[in-house]
Amino acid sequence: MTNVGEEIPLTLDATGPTTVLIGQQADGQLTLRVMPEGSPVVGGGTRSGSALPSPAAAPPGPSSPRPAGSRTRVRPTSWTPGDVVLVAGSAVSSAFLTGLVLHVLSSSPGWLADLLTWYAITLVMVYALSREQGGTQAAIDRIVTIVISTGALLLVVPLVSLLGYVLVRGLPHLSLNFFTHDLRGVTPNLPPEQGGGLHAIIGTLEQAGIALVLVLPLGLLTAVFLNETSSRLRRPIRIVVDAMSGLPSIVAGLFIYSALIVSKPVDSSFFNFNGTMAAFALALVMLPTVTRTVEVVLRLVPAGLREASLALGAGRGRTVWSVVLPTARSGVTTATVLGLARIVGETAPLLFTAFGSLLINANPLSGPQESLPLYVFRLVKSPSANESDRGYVGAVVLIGLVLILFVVARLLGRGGVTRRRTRPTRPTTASLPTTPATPTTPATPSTPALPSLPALPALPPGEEPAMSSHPPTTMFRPEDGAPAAGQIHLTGGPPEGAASIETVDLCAWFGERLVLEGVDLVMPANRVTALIGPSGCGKSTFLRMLNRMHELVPTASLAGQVLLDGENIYGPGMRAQRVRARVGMVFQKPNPFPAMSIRDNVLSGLKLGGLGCSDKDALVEHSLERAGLWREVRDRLDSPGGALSGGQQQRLCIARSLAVRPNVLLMDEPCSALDPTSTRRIEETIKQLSQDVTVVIVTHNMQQAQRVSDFCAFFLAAEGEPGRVLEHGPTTDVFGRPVDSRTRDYVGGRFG
Amino acid sequence: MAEIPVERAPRARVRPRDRSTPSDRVFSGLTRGAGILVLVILTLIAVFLVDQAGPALSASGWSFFTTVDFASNLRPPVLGVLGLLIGTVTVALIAVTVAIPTSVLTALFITDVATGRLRAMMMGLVDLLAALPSLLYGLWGFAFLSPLLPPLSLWVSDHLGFVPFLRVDQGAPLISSYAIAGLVVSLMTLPIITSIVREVFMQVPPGEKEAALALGSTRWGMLRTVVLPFGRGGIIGGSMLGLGRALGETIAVSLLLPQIPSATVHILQYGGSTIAGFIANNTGVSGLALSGLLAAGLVLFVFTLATNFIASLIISRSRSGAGVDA
Repeated sequence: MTNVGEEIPLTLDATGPTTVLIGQQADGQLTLRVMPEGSPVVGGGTRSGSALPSPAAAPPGPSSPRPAGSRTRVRPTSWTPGDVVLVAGSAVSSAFLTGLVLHVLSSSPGWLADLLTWYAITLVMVYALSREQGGTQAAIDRIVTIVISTGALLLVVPLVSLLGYVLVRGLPHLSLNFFTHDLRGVTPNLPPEQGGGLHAIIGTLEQAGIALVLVLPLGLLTAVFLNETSSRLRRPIRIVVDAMSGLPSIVAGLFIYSALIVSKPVDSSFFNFNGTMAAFALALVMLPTVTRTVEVVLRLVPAGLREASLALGAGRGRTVWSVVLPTARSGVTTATVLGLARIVGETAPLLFTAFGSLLINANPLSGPQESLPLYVFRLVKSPSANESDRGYVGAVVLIGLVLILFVVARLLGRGGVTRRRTRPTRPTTASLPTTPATPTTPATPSTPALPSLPALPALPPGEEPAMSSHPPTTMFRPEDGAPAAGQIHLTGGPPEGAASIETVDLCAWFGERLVLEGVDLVMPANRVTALIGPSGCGKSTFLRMLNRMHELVPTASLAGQVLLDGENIYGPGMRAQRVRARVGMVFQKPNPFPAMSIRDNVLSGLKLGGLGCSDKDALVEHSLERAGLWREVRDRLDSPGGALSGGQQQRLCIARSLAVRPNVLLMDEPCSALDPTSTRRIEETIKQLSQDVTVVIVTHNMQQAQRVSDFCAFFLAAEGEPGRVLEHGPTTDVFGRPVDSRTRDYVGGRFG
Repeated sequence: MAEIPVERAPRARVRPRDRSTPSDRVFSGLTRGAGILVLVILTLIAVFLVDQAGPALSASGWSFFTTVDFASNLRPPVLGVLGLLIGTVTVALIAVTVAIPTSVLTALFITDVATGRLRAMMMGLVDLLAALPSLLYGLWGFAFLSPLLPPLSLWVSDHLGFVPFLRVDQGAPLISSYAIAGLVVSLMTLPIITSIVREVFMQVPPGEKEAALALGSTRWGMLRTVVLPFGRGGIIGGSMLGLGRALGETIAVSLLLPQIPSATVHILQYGGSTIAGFIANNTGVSGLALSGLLAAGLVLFVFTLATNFIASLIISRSRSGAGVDA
């Protein structure tokens, strides 16, 4: 139960990994301390990486923690001060040598020659000295490091030079005039402060805006189509999109010019030089880029999240809208803003479409329109110094615009789930246990709870409370006669109660390979059935056939029947979505939705499956309580689900599955990624769950199967053959008096 | 208890079919519609380009690909893409040759030398380099870099003039040369190549790197034996993608080159043209000349397409490129 002292690594923003330390106050309330990585956890014994052997720096024992700050802390590095002196000295002396050779003994052909000679001599000197010190290998290594760093510098120098040059030329002449005037009546002999680029700014914003409106929905939907569906059209579309991303922007402009402006498909004044034509050309440039980048971002969303959403009974569209896109949101925005920055500076296609103008034309539908790149392009080529300075002012503004977009993109890119926090983490009345007094209480999603509830007893630190001693838990136990669960009404959900599940001659194929053959198994209602057996014997495939997740694999097929309370879930007219809402699933790896808070994670099944609920707060509490997580998270229901520890995340996933009140809960090695303490908590949870649902659990842990299950089935696949059920029955029999010798060997730990 | 599977009649094997809900139908309809729309638009462009380039191609015949000059104002107009194509390829090759070493070194710097803030800063700078409009590069090359380079060009041609393309004709000006255009375009290909190579280097399994270091190898030894061999496919593929970008570069080149088609290549002296730059300098044309420009644009597009295609093939075939998007 207690997570006091537990450290939870999470990433709040791009400043680096952060650790949350959970503490507990005397009144039992949990406290959170957030600290950047590297801060000492007092008493936790973070060991400083001290390389100095010091008698005083004995390892801190748990009894007498010494403040970590008192130790000398070093980070081992490969560059010592001596090395720096060596390189710097070489650089200085080679500078003298260069001067001597090129300027005293001969005449230098130019500054570049000086620089190259100096660099070469420095390298030779560093090599010679380092070889003396540490041998050939070390010397080569040092030279390579210097050369690599120089390469990086070669990339920085032009960038700085470019920005510096444009700023130096343009900034002195930048005045407010630029943002308020166009070039009306401006002649080349007027100073560059006269006249302005308002018309260009208006044009750029309008053209880029129209292009964005055209591209964003189309690109987003196409990317979703490419990544989230299994249509046969994906291949040709992907090829065409890839091909078009190589379309030179000037050809896009030429195409619009030729196809729309010269040919005029309809005889209308609209098909002439104007801002919309420019936007069309820009859209052609932007569409393939945005589609491809968004597709890449979508591909990064873990497949486990999609599976979890589908397993909650969501459709494909719902999964994309509520799970995939929110998770990928920051990536999608970044891609879009960068695409926008790209077209804002695009010049070539505009030459053929917007044409350019000296005056303000705010109507993108008719008449030539200016834009910032066109303005700059035309003016800087002018022989008049005033005109070209005007152009540089435009370039400064263009740089500013691109930089703003760039910074916005990077800020959005580092943003994440945590930015959505809307409520404080401190305990509020709203997050205290809420149980509606009567069934007639209207849904109160975020209003404060009724004040009449008894306060929770403070938990003595370190004591492991049994779940049953905890009042809110007991009221969900049927025998206690306080069926709070019955007061939360779900509409559109599965029918009440646990259901039995039975398979008849079930077989599974992947492609042409038969992986599971002839499984006849009954999993009685309100019982825990464990599926055991070595890896690759088809347990997980079997489990995934029980809620129609098997068919998500494109090559998968099956034969036989799965009867859920007597009804074949593969029968005609059955919807996979509906089956999955009735048969929930918990996966091997915890997969809470990262874009949702803890509370929203629990309620996600309602949203995804389209269910209604009379009291969401009560449902959240009830579900978390059944999963054994309520006490740990009740104070921070609005923090992201991904910020919990692995064991808590898995219990959150269990709560999420329970919230839709499934009849059966499938668990695919739910504890294999967890530590023993979390495993024990989940096992306790499983035992309690069987009062409300039928549990089917796949496990590799024999002790776990013995501890939690009522029935047990042993799967085995002989070499080159499909998996079959060798033996099944009450767990005590399978473990205590196995009939088959292979079962005896397996449960006895002699193979597998 | 143990069960021996009995022989049963052959089973009916099915692939489960699902009844779709209305919302699922809306979803698949919308996304499929968007996909098809994109397919149609982009196919239309290709068809249109070919169609509109037709008149020029049929007027010139095969000589379109062997004629150096492109003079639409003559009667009858002389239409040829060879001179433009030579210039385009020259600029792109110079650009990529300059960019590859810098990119690989920068990528190595980011993945294996720099740490912490320095690494993040370098990645940001590479991204910024990619975000800056090519117009600004052209501007900087035109006004700042051009005047700096002639002394160097002179020195190179004096000492290395025996190499044919480095020769400079007597008295020819040294500004507006392929060399300058190539240098400026190389800056625009740098971020593309760097980010691909960096991504490939980052996929080197840490275990292999640590294995090399644990054997007592220096960092250079590790880079040479593990990282560089692993990233070879990515370096080649990334360079090809950079080449694709360099081929289509327009506005900087139109500022930096006089755009006079010619078949001889002296990269250090005045003169030269590229397809994209030439098109940009010929706005407002119509009739057969426009068709000729479209034909030239089509040639450029085919070239870019082939380069990009080969690049993604190399990247995806290489061991390192499996998970890299290119």
